[in-house]
Amino acid sequence: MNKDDAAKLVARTRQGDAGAFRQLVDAYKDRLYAFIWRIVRDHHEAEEVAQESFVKAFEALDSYSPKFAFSTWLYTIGYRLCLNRMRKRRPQSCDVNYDQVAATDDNDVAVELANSEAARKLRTEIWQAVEQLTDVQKTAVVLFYQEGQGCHEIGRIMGIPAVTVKSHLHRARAKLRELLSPEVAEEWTTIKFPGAARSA
Amino acid sequence: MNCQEFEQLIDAHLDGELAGTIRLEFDAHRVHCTRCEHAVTLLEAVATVASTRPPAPALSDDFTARVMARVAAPAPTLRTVKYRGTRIALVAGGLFQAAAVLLITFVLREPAGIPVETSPEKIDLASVTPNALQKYIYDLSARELAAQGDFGAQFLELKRAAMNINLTGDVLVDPIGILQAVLPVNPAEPEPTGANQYSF
Repeated sequence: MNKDDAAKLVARTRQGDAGAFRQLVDAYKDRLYAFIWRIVRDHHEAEEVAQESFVKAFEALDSYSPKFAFSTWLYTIGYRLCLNRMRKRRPQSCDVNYDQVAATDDNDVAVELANSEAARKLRTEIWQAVEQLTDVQKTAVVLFYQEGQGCHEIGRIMGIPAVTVKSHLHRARAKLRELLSPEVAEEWTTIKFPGAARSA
Repeated sequence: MNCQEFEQLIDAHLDGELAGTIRLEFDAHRVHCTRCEHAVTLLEAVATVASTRPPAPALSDDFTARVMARVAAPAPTLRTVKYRGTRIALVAGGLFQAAAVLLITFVLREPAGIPVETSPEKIDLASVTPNALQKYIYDLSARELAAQGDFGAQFLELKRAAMNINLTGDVLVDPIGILQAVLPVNPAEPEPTGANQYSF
């Protein structure tokens, strides 16, 4: 859903159109839930937080400014609720089978990742390393890479300056370089350029 | 470009911020330096893998319905509690203020004194406090002495007034003593001696 369509639905919701808000929920629920689940790592808790995020967004709709994307505002609410949850409990262990990641892109690299054993192993190793990042680093990585958000948008969601987001990304990358084995780079090159590996 | 400079530009490269000659130098260095090539390739692998979405558990089918049910339902309990609490607070505040006014009016007030215009024979000594009686006598004597200059006449009048007061119990009023206490004590004039120039 683009920014203008979301703004129109918000305006209709403010006028009492419940159906408009239902459309907003349907448009953003999957992405919001996936983002929250990536942080809290529990299905039921992620659903509760996602539900609470929409309820709070509805209650605070008068404070929403159309100059920001609705998704940014919604993610901000979800992120704050996640932080509250995380403060109350200890971190969960990773329980995702990354072998089952389905390639959603059309490019050849994504297809290779989905199909080869080396790609599956690489995928698992990288996600396990991402899980070892701090909550703020992991959030910055997820928002930057999965959601394609810029540093300014990520800063609005997390309530921190854009330069701090860059700092978190820098530290996350430095930590991932420590955690990942040097073979990851060679395997990635093999996957990306299969012809070069065979001829070497 | 050396390896240290290359290292400092990795974040900018991953953020898509390199351009121009810097971009050319960066790419040229990674072609010739295996170590730097592996470092940036590893992080490019992370970027590609992180941009794919690992499978989150499926969101419940009735998620939207549950959200809409929550936003549609009023919160009467919360409103009732708030409203009742406000009423209780207002009533309690009013009662407190009324009690404070009564306390100040009837308990903490200064006991009524005897107006100086009151004739001595009309004073009911049983209903006045000793302090009030004493103040009355002081005020009376001061008023009389200030109004007329003849001390002798005033003294007699005051004595007459004091004697007309019916005293009971152990209350003793000594108008002379009171006047002496009120009026400044005149130092005894020195006995004339023969030492001054006008003596014979």
